[in-house]
Amino acid sequence: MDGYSFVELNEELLGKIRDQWKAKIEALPDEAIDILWPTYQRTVGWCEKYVDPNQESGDLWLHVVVDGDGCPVALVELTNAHRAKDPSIKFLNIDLEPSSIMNLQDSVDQESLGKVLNVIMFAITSAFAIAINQVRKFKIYGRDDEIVSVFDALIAKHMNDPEQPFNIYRQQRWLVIEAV
Amino acid sequence: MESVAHFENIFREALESVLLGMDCADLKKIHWLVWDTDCCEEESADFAEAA
Repeated sequence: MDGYSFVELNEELLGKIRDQWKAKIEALPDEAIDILWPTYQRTVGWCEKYVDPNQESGDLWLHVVVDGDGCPVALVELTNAHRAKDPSIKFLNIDLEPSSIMNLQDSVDQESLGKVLNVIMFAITSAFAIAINQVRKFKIYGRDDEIVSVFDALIAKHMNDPEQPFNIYRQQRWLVIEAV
Repeated sequence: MESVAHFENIFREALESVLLGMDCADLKKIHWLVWDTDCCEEESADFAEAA
């Protein structure tokens, strides 16, 4: 899909996030920099801890969506609870690169939104493929009501599909998909 | 691979049915599309705990 790849966060990708995302923020007006800079610093600091072999990251499993030019376009927060009583891989969140986010936009460019949805779909599908192969259960967290609406639309669609290869249901704000 | 493609199809269809056509204000409510400039550092760890 669009030449993207899905790679666990490493030193090289962290360096690219640090440099390229910083450059994109610094190209924005001062007011925008003031808004985004603390989040950028917090994200980079968090990623530095993740790649530091002396730091414990628990079940957290950070991945990056990389485009065909090798540029990081999204940071994906997963947990890999494969040793838990109920093993699963969980999709917690996705942080898009600064020029793709909606924070500072006043209108919707449908073409840009379509590209962003492609990145999100690639991240979710990649994580789903790993989960189904490794632990056979995948969960996605719906932090806002809009994404929970997406889950409900998906479940409604899936219920009408007689050849479903997995069970899919909602558990509070989580969408759960289990291989049959 | 078949189940991955199937999942991708139904998820994409659901995502696009809800998101495409939304106005800017509603899209900004979707956490995946924004940077949370207010959240605390431990928040993602809290999600994991809640799972």
